Amino acid sequence: MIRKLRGASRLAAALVAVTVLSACGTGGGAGSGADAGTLRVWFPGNLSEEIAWVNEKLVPAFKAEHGVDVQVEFVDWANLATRLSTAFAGGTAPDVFGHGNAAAAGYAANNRVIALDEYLAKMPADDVADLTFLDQGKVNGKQVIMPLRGFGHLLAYRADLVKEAGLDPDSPPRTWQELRSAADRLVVRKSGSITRSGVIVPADDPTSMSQAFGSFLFQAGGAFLDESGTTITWNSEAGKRALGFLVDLYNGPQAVSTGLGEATSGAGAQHPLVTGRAAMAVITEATLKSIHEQAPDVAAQIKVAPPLKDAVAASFGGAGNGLFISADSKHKDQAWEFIEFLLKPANAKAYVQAVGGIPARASLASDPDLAAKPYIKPYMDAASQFRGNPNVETWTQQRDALSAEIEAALRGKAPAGEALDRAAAKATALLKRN
Amino acid sequence: MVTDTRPAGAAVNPDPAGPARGPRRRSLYSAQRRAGWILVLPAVFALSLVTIVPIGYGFYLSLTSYNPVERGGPRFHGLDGYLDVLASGEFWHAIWVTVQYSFGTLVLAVPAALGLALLVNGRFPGVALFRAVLYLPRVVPLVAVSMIWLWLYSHDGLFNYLLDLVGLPPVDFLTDEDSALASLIVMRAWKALGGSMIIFLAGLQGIPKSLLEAASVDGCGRWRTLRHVILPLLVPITTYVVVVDLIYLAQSFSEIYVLTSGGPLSSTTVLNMLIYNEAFEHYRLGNASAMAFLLFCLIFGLAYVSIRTMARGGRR
Repeated sequence: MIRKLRGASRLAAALVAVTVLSACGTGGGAGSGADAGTLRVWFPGNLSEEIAWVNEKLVPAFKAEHGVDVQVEFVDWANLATRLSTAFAGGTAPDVFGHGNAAAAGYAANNRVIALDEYLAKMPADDVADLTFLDQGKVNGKQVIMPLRGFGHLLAYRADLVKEAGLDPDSPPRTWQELRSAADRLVVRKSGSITRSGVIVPADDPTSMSQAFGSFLFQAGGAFLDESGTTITWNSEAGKRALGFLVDLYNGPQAVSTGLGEATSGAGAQHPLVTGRAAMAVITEATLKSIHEQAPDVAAQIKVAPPLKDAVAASFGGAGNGLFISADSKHKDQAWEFIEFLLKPANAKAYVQAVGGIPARASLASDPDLAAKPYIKPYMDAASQFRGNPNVETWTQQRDALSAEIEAALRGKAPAGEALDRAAAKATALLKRN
Repeated sequence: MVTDTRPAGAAVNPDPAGPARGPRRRSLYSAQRRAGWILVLPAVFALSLVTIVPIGYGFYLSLTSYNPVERGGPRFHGLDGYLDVLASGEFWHAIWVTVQYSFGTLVLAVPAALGLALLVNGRFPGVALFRAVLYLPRVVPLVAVSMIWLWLYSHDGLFNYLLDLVGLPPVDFLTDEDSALASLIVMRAWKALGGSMIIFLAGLQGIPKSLLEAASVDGCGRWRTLRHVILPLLVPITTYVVVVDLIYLAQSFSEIYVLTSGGPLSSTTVLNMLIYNEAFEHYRLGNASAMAFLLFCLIFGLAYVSIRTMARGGRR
């Protein structure tokens, strides 16, 4: 019995030792989970067309041309920041990763990504000049992100409903006054409640609301920050006028809009324009694409207007998601080759055909296939009028402060001016911390 | 049947084999002890690795300033993070929302679960099926339940359809700050109902029939039997249900993430949601860890108060 117990003890001890040793041996490092020669790439999002195109076309073509294995992972936008921050902390960040411009300055300031200027310098000059959104990927003059596509917010409207209301569907609103006037005609109320909004703006969550505010801020001639990126300017007179206009759409007895907090981004057949709960809506090209794919009959009735104008014809948009190269990557040259390959004209075109949006190359603006897409052409036409977020280190935190106050104003909990001033005070404190 | 015949107060020999009577017996005893230690070692090792070490590291992080995007790792700053958190209005708002959410759900779920347990404790045709149907929400993952309720609560969902049928205007269940938390509470109570009901049912079936018969002989009606016999005997079970539910509810995250993401206007931002935002939206892992330990204190405090209160009620 004792002998058996001793045997069991030794076996258990050996198992523990093996477990400990094997645990030590599997300590992850950069690139764990892939072979040493494999390029690891994270794309943001979960669009099935994008996943299919990248995995079935792009990666095999890249491997055939460059002989490099690529391991691609698609990370849902909602989890991207979480996954990236834990990967940075754990030393397992991918060689190439996608993100929006908003995070560029933060990653650059913390030396998590490399400057791409040396690689760009090796590209032919006319090739570089063809890249539409390059300037928006710069932080302190250095290129840190290569935009893959552009996006924008434009006013879309149901031509059939507009016609029903006695308006001309071929003369969409061009100014705020015209927008308000059309919304007043298009709104439908029943027992004091709005059953069909005259117009809605992206308002799924506070961040969407701040982007919607951005469009009107730019149209009023304002900006989020001054040109040096050191002073908050969203609470200027232009900003207060812009937010006041939006607040009036959603509040008071003459409100023409409803649905704050409802998910409309990429809503396809469930979008209020499709269900008939809104006659006009400021929407992105991706949302319009989802409508065309899921509700083609209604989509045929949807037209898109050029950017509205108050002082300036402009709208929120610009560089969408792009690719970074991790500073910890051991395969930086191959990582650049992958990005360069993806930005070749044929691939840049195929990418927006799969994902939607404005192509990363100006030369594609005249491409007949893209021009035939009703969810791409209006956005390509307005590309030069889109403006995006400022590339400053704490922008995402500043934007969160702004978003919370904009939500409070839109919900009628705070006057527009006070809300913007309060957000500016919080954001100024963040700017001073830099 | 085994009866202990030792006199009261007699010392108990820790070694059932009796006192060591020689080197051979001592050797056997120590070999058994060693084997025991070695056999539990893998479990101790695994527990340390996945529980104790992370808790210790989490506590260390709570004493640091740590942004995972920055290089250089955590920077020790003592209790500054705790002081920052305690001075933050967002933190106290989240505590208040957490308390409202937890107790709101309990107030709704516990009496309803008890009522259903009393109902299905009887014998009637189809009782087993009825019990199974009531237990069903418990076995469906919370995220899946949340997705279903997201549709039920949506503008074009079932609830607004029913309201429309009776001529009432639609309600913005999840997008109005006045109704969002209440809507979450209703959903969570529904989800908690089945599990609590089964525990109450087990408690009810453990009550000796002789007590119920004695109450009946003494002339107690159904209500008096419930009030003076059943409910007092269910106090330990109720305490268990309340405390366990409280521990789960105070840590709620997934349903809130799916249904409202803490909005509108932070009206559903419970503490776990704030911790998530602090850690992964604002990259303040030190403060997030401090909040996590304060959440632990809150849960411990709420559970302790619940146990004490119910124990006092039970003694009465």
